[in-house]
Amino acid sequence: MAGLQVYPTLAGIWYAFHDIHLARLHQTPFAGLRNFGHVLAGPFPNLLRPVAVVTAVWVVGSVVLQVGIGLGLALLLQQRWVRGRQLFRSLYLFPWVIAGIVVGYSWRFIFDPTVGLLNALLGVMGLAPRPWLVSGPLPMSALLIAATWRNAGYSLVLQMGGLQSIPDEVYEAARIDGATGWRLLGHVVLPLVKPFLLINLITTTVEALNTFDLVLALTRGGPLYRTETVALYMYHQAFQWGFLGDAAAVSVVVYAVGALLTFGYVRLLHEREAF
Amino acid sequence: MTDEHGRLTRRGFLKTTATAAVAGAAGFPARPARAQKKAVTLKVLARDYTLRLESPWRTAGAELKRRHPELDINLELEGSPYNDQRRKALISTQAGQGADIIQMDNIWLGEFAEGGIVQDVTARFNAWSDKGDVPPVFLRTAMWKEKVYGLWLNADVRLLHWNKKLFQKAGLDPARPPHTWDELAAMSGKCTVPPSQWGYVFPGGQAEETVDRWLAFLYQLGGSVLNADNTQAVFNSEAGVRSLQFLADLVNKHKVTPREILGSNQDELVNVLVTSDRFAMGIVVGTGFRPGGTNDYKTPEEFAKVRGAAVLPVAPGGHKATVMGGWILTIGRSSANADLAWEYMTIVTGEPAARDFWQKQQRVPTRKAAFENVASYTQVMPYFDQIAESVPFARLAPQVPQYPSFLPFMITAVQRTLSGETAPKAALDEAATQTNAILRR
Repeated sequence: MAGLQVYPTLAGIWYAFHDIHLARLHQTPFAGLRNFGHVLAGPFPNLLRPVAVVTAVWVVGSVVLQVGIGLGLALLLQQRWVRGRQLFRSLYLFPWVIAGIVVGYSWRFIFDPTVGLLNALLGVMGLAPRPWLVSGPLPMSALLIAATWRNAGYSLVLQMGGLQSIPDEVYEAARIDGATGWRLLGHVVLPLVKPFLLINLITTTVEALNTFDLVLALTRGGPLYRTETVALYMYHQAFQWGFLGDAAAVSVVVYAVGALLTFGYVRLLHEREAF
Repeated sequence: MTDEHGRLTRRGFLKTTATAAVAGAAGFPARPARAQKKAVTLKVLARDYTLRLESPWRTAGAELKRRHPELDINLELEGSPYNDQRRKALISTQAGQGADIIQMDNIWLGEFAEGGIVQDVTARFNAWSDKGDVPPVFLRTAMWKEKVYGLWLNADVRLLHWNKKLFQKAGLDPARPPHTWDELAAMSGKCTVPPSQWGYVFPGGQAEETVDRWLAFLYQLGGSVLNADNTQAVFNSEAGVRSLQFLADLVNKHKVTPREILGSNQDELVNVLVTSDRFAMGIVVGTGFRPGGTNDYKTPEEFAKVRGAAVLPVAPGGHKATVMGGWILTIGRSSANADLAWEYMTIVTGEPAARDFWQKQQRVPTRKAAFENVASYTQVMPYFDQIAESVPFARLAPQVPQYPSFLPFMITAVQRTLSGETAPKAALDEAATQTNAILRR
């Protein structure tokens, strides 16, 4: 446990306070807070401009879309008239087991602005090609679509587990009390699946913060670092630009933010529970 | 040990078995002749594409073994994709488990030399009988601070590729490429029918090649990336601004290059350029001919019938220049067999062992022997004469250790300008300031 968890964490923190370069691993002068200065206020791109904003959009978008669509599909599959529930569940889960890098390249074939399938299809339909992966909100939208396609199935399976844990008697009692539709969902179902929702929110947030392969394959963080998420920024700092100390400083900041977000989710859901 | 009939007695059998067991446990070899051979392992960290053929590594390996019958040489050839090569070389060498021979991208030279990742081979080079076979450009660019660090294995130069069919369709002479920037813009305009057909294409994504293509034009106007002693960025000079403005004009003013290049990567663009009628011209690494690759051209003649490749068009008031890239073989600092590694490198990079590799993979040779035989190379490498003409005036990206660290600023400057977001001067000035901060760090 110490070897696998505590040592890498402490080593990461130690690196964050030392000037370590990929080509000079044995020279590790103490850097104090300099590495944090580089990544927070250094030349563009840095953590504040634009990585933090890009990451916030990416994490919030991923959580809302993946958890929302996962929950929506789970509710749909819970309906009595739905046949082949197991088959749908397996189909939705299938993309989740594919490596992120493969998913990224597959979607690149679709979204590529010059040679992609999507623009070719638009052309066949007589529509103008769109600058996917090039400008405006389209590159981030393309990333969110690919990530949702890959991960919504995981949310679906988790939320189905939550929904199946609610006894039929609860639904019966709610219906007798006149709760149907949105009222049933808001006042009965959601409060009861809250623990599953909490796990889903935490895992999706952490997954989004750590996603690197899919972004690397699909946009490489571009154009102009408009899709440079924090995990990709760490990779670039360490292995492209060679600043291992700076990359470690980013990881310390991400660790702190991840811990705060998790704490916040737990507090939020527990406070609501207290009402 | 035998009885009167020559049969093995029980005592003899036991004695023989025990002797054999003791000999085996002591590690005695079964064949004494092999025991005299000293076992040597040469570990090579190469790029994956260089291992696809027998040439150059295995061909040279056979020659090395032939030259050293006294040695039992074991070659451990490991191939890596581009992104893994630098990381693997840096980390394994510093961990004391590095390779004897490391294939190094030329832009890593300063980083690897300064970091002590690779050995200084100046003395070996000076004592080498074939050193005269190395063209000056490939010696100069294998040197860092007056010391030689390796031998070039293969190079590549940027050329202008054009589609003869689209030229003909646009009323242009299919045998004549543009010779100047003005001609490039004008001829591209004639070939542009948006959104399905464009006159000129180059990579503009968030990657090294975006800067690489701009550098060719910067060099034509006499510009450089850094000053002479590599202490300050000078790519924001007038030459930098004019050359970047020209690229931006192709996208935004002449509208002969689609803005979508900002989101496309090099491989995809080149593949489309070479195999379809989407783009009339483009700047490519080599000529675009890849036998056995993704394109449909089976022979050089078939390729040359419909495609052209030529020296890049020249800037007004400028001179011929292009960008060259490629790979240098070096000896890792932890090599315990540096002598043998050097000898192996000299064979691997030599024409006899590397010819097949250069020709079948359309790589630019790095020995004089190949350039003295242009006609024979042209039979298998279309437009080899254009390659041979370009090599002497080709320049490299900076080989300073900080290049990978300040490259992102240059990419950003080019992308900002191409997207029309910022004027070239402002974008380059900001990138130069950031680069100077990295150079001082």
